[in-house]
Amino acid sequence: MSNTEQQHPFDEIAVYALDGLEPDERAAVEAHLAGCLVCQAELDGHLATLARLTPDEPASPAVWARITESIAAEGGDVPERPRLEAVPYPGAPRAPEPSPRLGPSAPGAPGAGPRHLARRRRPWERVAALAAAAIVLVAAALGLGYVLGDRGEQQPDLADQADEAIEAGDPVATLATPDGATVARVVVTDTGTGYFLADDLPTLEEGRTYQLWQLDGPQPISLGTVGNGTTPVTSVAVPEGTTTMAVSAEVAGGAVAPTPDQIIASGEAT
Amino acid sequence: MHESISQSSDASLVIAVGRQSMAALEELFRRHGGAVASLARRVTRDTHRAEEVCQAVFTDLWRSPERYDPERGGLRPWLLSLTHRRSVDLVRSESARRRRQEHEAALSPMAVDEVESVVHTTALADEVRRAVHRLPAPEREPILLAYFGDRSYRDTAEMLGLPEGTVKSRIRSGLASLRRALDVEGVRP
Repeated sequence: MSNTEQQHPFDEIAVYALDGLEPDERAAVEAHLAGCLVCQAELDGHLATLARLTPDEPASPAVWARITESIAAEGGDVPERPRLEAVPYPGAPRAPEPSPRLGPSAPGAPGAGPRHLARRRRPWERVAALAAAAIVLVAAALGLGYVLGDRGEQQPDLADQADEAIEAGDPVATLATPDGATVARVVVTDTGTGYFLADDLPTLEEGRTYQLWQLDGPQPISLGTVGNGTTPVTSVAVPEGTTTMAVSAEVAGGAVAPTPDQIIASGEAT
Repeated sequence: MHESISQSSDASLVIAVGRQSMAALEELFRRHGGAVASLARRVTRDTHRAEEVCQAVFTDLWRSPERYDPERGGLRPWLLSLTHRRSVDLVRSESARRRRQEHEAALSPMAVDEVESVVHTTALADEVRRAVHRLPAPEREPILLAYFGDRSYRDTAEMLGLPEGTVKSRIRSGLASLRRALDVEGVRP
């Protein structure tokens, strides 16, 4: 046995990949894996090999319906959003017309949502749904390498709309760096639509993006990515009640939570 | 927009799931739900339980998308590893009486043949089946018993009449051989 094999339990890693260890051994391997990049890579290689054994097949619309029911039953806060377009499952008949994803549809049909998902929502939920929809649009756009607002000519009226909202007296959050320099503003309208103004944000290098966060709750909530600093105005969805916001620099595509040492500026809407 | 979300990478969609996007979860289910169900069905050998596993895997992804680390590999291998773990745990958690009955049956030489039969009769792609059978029997049997037969390596050692350490080392060498055999047969990663 080589020194490497004495240091790394490669045999056990292989058996672990097959879920063939006893519970106590499984726990020991997981403890080792948590701190060993070499064994993580060994395991990942085995998992990739094993994944090649499993054939693809059409996903079941009935199982998807159960998943959505389960999620709704657990939290009751499944955000509704406008359906981008009915996405047929492989092998499933295409619906004659796109239908609202969570609207009335035949039980078991592709994309059919459980009835209680279409319940009447509280006002903040409607705003949250708008935010979720906007995030989906951004996430979807990322697949094409295009972030909403990255091209000024695509949304020529945003700057005018933001100016009108400011003139109308809508709240504006001034985002400032720790040393007090104002680098961006967020205009919050009473419709849930907001405008992110990148007044003086430095341009990020390729592969990075700014991301806007709401900081009023126990955990930061992403309000979406807002470009790399070259987009003067970006439309964002701002949930009702939002006052405190921050902008961070993240990898392209955005992050689930703001990277602590990458928070550029923050401020409150007044 | 249909094109956009359907062309987004798995990693981007997982980020969107973290932002409570059911559209992203739906797309990921469309891409990987069939494979997840296929593996769960093969391990549990029960359609109803396989659906339970599939539901649990995607519900977990909704709850904790941050557990997926794209730097460590593709989403499908990760989802399938969760699927296999849940399936195995489900099968192994059945009553002690049934476990004893299964154990007694498992010790018969037929068990290996039964697992081989599973590989023959289930919906493995032809090239995958050929790759599996490229492996020498001493490497193939422990992998089949553990992966498709939900046997621990100790059970496998007992069934095959081999030392436990030998079974573990054969599983490791067998996985390396399997990767090469899949390459030879052109089974895409």
